[in-house]
Amino acid sequence: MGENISSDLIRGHIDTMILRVLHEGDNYGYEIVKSIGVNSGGAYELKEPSLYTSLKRLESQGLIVSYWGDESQGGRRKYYHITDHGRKTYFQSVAQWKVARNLINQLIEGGEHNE
Amino acid sequence: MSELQRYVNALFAHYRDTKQIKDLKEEILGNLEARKTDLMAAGADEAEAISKAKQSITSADGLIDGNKEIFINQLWREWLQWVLIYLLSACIVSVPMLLFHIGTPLSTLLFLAAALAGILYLRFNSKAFGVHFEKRTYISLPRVRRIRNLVWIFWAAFTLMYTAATTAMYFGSNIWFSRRVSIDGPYQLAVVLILYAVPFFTVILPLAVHKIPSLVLKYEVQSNEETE
Repeated sequence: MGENISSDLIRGHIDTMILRVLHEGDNYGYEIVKSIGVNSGGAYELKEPSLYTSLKRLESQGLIVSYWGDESQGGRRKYYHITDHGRKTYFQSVAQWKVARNLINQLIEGGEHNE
Repeated sequence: MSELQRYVNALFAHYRDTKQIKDLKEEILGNLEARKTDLMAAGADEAEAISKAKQSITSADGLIDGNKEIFINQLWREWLQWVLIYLLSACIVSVPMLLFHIGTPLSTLLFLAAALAGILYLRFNSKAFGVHFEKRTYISLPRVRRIRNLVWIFWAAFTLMYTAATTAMYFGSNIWFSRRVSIDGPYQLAVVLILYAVPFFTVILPLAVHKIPSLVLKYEVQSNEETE
């Protein structure tokens, strides 16, 4: 699963992937990983260490805030909530991605037919 | 204590339980338990679910504030180079002291140390020695900085004590040994100066340690070199 996906190409977009999940509703770590897996149709799995690094960065940038769930036993769940600033950043990232995607398409595709 | 809880504690065994670490441990445990429950709901037995959950996170070193992943042997290579430079400089400065036999032991010691550092540096660099320069390790930058500050404080204290002791011995000889201080020529003056100069050669030690924090930043693994 995901063997042929270049992690270099994806890594820069992990923050946006998480913002997208939180844009759809508050969530906690494992469920975020799962949602991203589902969004990818099972083709991509976010690694847990990358998840924590991203969440920490997003929180320090004020794009998300966290609060503890009220599970009574075992490890409590830490939920994340997207802020207004986070939503704005998410929409900006999507717009930037669309521009970049078209440009990169134009620049690198097409050569494959002239073998 | 559940097996997953023990596992999370083991991941953080090297770290003090600060508020930040406690929260992180709790969050990770919550997520591991959610993963375990989910896997069991999908038909895995408990042992299998626990082992799969564990595989999802195998180290916490990258999650600690201030921890830097560095190319440790590249750092040691450059550090050895700096130690060598400091020792050679000290050797050169100490050459005039060879004229006075009181300075000979120090000078000899410095030359030996420089030679040793030189040999180490060459061996470290030689292919036959088999040093793996791509090796990565996590180092806590705040901790390295604390050690650097401590070494400077100890050095300053040592230098102060030494200077005070030298002064008491040399200029207080009239009081302790009823013997007058006599500096009756350039030779005696040089001897006194050498006595005072000795602790300043030990500045090599704090200088060498001082270099490490900046090397940690220099040899930090950049994110495009990350492995998954």
